[in-house]
Amino acid sequence: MAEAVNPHAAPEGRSPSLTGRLIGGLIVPMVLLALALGIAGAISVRHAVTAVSDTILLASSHAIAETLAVDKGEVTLDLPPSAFGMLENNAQDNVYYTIHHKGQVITGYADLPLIGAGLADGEHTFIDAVYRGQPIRLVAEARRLPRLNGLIVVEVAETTGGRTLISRHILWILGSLEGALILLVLVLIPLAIRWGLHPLVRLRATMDSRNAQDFTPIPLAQAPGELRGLVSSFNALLHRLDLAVEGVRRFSADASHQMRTPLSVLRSHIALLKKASPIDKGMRSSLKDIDEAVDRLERLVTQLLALGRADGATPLPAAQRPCNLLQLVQDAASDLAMMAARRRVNLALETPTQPVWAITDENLAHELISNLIDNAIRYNRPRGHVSLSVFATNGRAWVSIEDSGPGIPPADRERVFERFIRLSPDADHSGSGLGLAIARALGDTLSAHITLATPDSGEGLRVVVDFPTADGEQA
Amino acid sequence: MARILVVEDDAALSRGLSSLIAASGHAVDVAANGQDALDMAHDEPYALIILDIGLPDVTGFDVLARLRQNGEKVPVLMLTARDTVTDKVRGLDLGADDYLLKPFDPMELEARMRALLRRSTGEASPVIQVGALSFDATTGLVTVNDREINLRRRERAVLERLIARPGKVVPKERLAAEVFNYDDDVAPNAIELYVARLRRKLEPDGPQIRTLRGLGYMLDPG
Repeated sequence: MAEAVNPHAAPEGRSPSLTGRLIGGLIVPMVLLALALGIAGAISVRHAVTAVSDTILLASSHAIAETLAVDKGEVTLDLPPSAFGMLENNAQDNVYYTIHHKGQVITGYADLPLIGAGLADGEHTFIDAVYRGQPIRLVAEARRLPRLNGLIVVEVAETTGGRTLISRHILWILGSLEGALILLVLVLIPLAIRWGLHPLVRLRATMDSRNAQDFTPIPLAQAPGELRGLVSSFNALLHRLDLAVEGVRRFSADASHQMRTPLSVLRSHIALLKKASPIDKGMRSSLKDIDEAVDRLERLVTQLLALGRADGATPLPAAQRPCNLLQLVQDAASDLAMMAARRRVNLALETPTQPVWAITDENLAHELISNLIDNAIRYNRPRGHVSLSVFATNGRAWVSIEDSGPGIPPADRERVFERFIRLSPDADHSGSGLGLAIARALGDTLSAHITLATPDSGEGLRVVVDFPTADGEQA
Repeated sequence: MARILVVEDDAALSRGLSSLIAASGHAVDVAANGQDALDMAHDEPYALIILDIGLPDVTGFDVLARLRQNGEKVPVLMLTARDTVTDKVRGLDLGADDYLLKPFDPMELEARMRALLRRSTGEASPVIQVGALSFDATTGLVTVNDREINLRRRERAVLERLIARPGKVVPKERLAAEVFNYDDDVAPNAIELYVARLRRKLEPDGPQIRTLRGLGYMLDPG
């Protein structure tokens, strides 16, 4: 059955979704960029920390060098506390120094590597080294002192705990910010894409909510600029479809109208012939056959017109009003009471204790129910019954029509809604094969569902229609 | 016996209609277009005009409108091949007295004609016939195949309501409301009793009164 196919199911080997493409195209470069920025940031941080710490280290070295003096050919040093004070930090780094003159250690840690041997006066240099098993940063500067041959080299070193601590601290902040940024991107981009693509979803909802016979164009203003072309192509397609459907509909309506007058001719002359007496038995039986054929033709014409109307019916929201379903079923059944009597079918209605209200178009609903009751009487057996009941449950208003006819095997229950399908080709059932098709078309228009089942008695057919109600959710 | 004008452009239908009408004892004239119809209606005092909407020159609506403009009060029964409600409303708005959709049951046409003629000639046809049953509204005489049936007041009232709409379902509540007065102190289901008695009295050759549970009662013309 065609309706079982979900129109939104993904076909095999489909192309990736727009959302997927956008997410892939945005998130991957964003994350890569964030990583690159992070690495570059880390390098800059390391440089900056080194530069700042080196400046302090050099200042400390300057402070020591400033106190160097030459007293009687001897180099003297008055170590100022501030020279090391500026190097104090939380990491409790060790500070080392040496003072060399002409390759001789004058004072300080003699085993500190000498790196400033090649320096000219006023020059300095930094290196990273390992001292006593710990990484250190070492600065060496050369100075010429008055009245002294050769250059004095001052070296100051500190372990790198403090620098690492600061670097780590800054890197940690940087990393946290980067992480936050990436997380934000991961969360925001899909949201932004969904928001950006929302007009598409809305457009689809507009199309989905359409009635099968609604060929009015989709307003271009509703579509985002990028989709205008697509929507107007779709509208053009709708228009051509509308013309085609309208053509078929008008043809069947016109054809049916044209048949009404010849049918009237037949009816009036048959009535005349019946009045004319005497006629012999063979003529009477011929006349009866003609009469019945006219009945069938007439019903077919009426049904075709009804089907044309049902297909063309777009229930105006204004016509969907609260409607007394019991009254409606009573009226429809009463109209068919004579037909039931002629076929010796007992027609009865189970009256509910409470009134049952549906939100529907009264005329279309009447036509729907009439077709179902007509079917139940027509496809029945002599001395059979048609039992009607009306009730409200689960937020819907229900009409149940049970007959004692041959029933419909479960396998055929979908097929009988097709046009011109008649399960029993026997001549007793002068149906057009359109009753259920009309009911289905009207049901679709009214959001009323028609279900076929077997009655509890096991005999015949039970047709149930449920209509929307004011307190139930819309179907 | 009344004079009736049939306005219908389809020759075969026109012949069928006029023969049927003639068979029920009326004099029939036939017009095949709107202009002839107006001329004839102007010259002759018809008791009823049967008017098709689809005519070759002007529509039946135009004919009807001009008839009414000329002050003709003759009852008009319209025939149409279009079963849209708007057509019906338009016809009735223009002053049509009744409306029949093609193809119609000739018996239905005769019944409607009788009703319209009764109105136009002012004389109610006092005897209603349903199958073997006849009911004289003036004298209250009820017979089945010329056998007189004695009915009590309430049974007669029930029959009167049912026979006014043979072949149509009369809801039980409405029947009860019409048969009993406000001050009648009766059980809600008392109507069933009267229907059952009436049904017995019409047996075996009279028309059947059918009970449709949940719907009402119907006098089955057979």
